[in-house]
Amino acid sequence: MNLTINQKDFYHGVQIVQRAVASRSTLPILKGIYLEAVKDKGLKLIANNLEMGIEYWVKANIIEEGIFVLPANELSNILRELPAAEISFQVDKSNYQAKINCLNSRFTLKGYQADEFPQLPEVEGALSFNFNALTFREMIEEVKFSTSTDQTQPTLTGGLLVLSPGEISLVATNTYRLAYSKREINNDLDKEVKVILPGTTLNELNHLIGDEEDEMNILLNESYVRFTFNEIVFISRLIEGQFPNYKQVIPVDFKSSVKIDRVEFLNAVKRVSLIARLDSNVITLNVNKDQMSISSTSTEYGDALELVEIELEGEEQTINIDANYLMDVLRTLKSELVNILLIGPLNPLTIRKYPEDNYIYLIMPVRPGA
Amino acid sequence: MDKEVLSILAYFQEHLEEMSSRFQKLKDITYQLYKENRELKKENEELKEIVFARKKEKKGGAVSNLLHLYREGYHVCHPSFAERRKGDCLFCQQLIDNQLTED
Repeated sequence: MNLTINQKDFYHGVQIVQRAVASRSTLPILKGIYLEAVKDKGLKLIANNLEMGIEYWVKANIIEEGIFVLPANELSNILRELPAAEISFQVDKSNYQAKINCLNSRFTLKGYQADEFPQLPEVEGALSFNFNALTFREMIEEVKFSTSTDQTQPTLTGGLLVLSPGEISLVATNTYRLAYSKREINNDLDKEVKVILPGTTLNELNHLIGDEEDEMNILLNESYVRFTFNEIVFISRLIEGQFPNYKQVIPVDFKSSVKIDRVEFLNAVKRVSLIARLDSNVITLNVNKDQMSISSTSTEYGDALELVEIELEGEEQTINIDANYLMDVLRTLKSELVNILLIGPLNPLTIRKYPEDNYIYLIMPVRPGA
Repeated sequence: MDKEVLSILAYFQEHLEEMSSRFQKLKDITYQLYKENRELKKENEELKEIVFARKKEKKGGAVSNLLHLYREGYHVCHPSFAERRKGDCLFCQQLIDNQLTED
């Protein structure tokens, strides 16, 4: 393998695929990045930790084609520190090492035999559809914080992707809260398709999808999902198992409906949580005719009270809520107003965007005196 | 000739008596069956009532067991059954509410 490549392009490519490099693995080669030089196409980079894999093409002047695997961390560290100039990259296969030369810098890095590197799986017999990448990122952002971190419940550590005729939705829950985000989509489906995307996949996608309004292609089968966007191919295993029936816990009848300014509400909750977090992190929302009081009392440290103007329809109510659960959603949503829907002090509190109707967030309240 | 007629009549009488006796026996058996059927019907109704009452009792017991387990601080919902819970669970609450509504 012999090529010349721009330092910035090479480092950018390595940074992208590095997210799928195995951090801990019994197979040392999985800590590496697979490099394949193809004439007229460039340099293909692949990382694969067997749970997810990323493929990315970088522009390069290929003098001699070839394949090689280099340790990801070391390659990334070297590329980061090299000057922004043309790099000469040569592989000496007889002793498994790569020569990386850039201006006055000379590096030799030992690698692995590329034949042993596991290639990304083919997603066969798949359902294929296109969707706006930025909208998908927004949906991921709206639900990913609700996934469970408890590894004993694998299905709850991911997000449920539901495709139905004309609609795409993502759901995540840790059983104490639930986030549901849906959007319209053009598809020719005649039935519902459900798969569970791992939480790490949601995080990595959220990170990799840029700010460009690009179309994303999604390929799905029973075991894998493949996303193609911005020249990136991202493949992930799916979580096997049954996701809980989320539809039956979403309330439909409410006794109170509150419209409130999201940022004002978030700032008030943030301030009250300064006291709440010293104790159990529970805040009390007291919904009155024109205003909501947000309060917290710590027997040891003191108390906090904030008043925010609201528009209330229905009964006045009081409910105790975990402050972090509330702040997570208020930080994520972008709408100016949010709609809070209440049933009673022991029933889930529902938050929706206002006036859009494509998002539902449920929080189980904390029992008074608990 | 008279003797022959008398013999036929005697034979005929014997048959009639035998048939009458068999008819009586059939009548007795039918009555016994009728009686037995009536008793079985009654018994069946009583058993149905007992089984139904037990089922109802058992169902009520299951709900109270779930409630007891939930109040002790464990999940009773499908996704996290028997795991220690950190607060009120959306799915447990829904399950308990459903069970109580069905009762």
